[in-house]
Amino acid sequence: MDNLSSAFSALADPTRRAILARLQEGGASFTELAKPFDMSRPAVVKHIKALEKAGLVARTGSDTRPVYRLNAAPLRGPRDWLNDYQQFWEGSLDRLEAYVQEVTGQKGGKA
Amino acid sequence: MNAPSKVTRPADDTVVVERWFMAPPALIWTFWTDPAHMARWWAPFGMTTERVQVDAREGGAWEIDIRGENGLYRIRGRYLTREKPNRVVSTWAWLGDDDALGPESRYEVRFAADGDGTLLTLTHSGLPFDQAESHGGGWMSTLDSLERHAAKEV
Repeated sequence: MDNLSSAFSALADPTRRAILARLQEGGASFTELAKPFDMSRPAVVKHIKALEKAGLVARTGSDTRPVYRLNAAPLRGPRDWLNDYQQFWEGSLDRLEAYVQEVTGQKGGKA
Repeated sequence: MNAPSKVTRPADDTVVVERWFMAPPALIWTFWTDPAHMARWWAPFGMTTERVQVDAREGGAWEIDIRGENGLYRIRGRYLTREKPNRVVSTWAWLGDDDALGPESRYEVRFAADGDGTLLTLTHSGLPFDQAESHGGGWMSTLDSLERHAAKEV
């Protein structure tokens, strides 16, 4: 569920998708990544950070001259995505079942 | 009694979970739709429902925040149908840490009287891969190409 929500929110933005598309061609410096976008440096930094946080982009190189690379590991097949939803709902329904038992199991309890 | 769920996947973008409850449909409907009850069970075990806000009308929005080990999960939706006591249809989307709303999917839950209890059937459809198409195609092609890339890398 963690991957699900963070990767999809990271991918929901067109700038971030463009950054990922660029990184498919290979590693890139910050300047190379920022070049196509008509936006401030902090704005680009924010997008890259969101992608890093989602685990989609990894940073290599030195601190002063980082190189960004695509990390496709968090991207999984559709069946895996469905697994996350399945697990979420089964978890919630387990909880609902326990709650139903708690409420209906009490003598004279209010429903 | 912990009746197992029956889970099926009729399509690549759809999960169906069936579960039987020892309580009448009207009660399950109330638990599913009343915010005071929702807060008691919505988060899976190990997580906590921090906040539930519901506009209990058709077209009304709902918000659920769940606290888990790895942070806060925020779910946002809008009721498309509320047929007491048998059916709820709603949109569903995760709200990201950057406050960007993720792609929208949809769930339908049915509560059918069955013996002494209720058969709940939850259908969550339009899940990310297929709904990519409705996001201008760019979404899908990005995922497609990333998947190919992943296949090469791994």
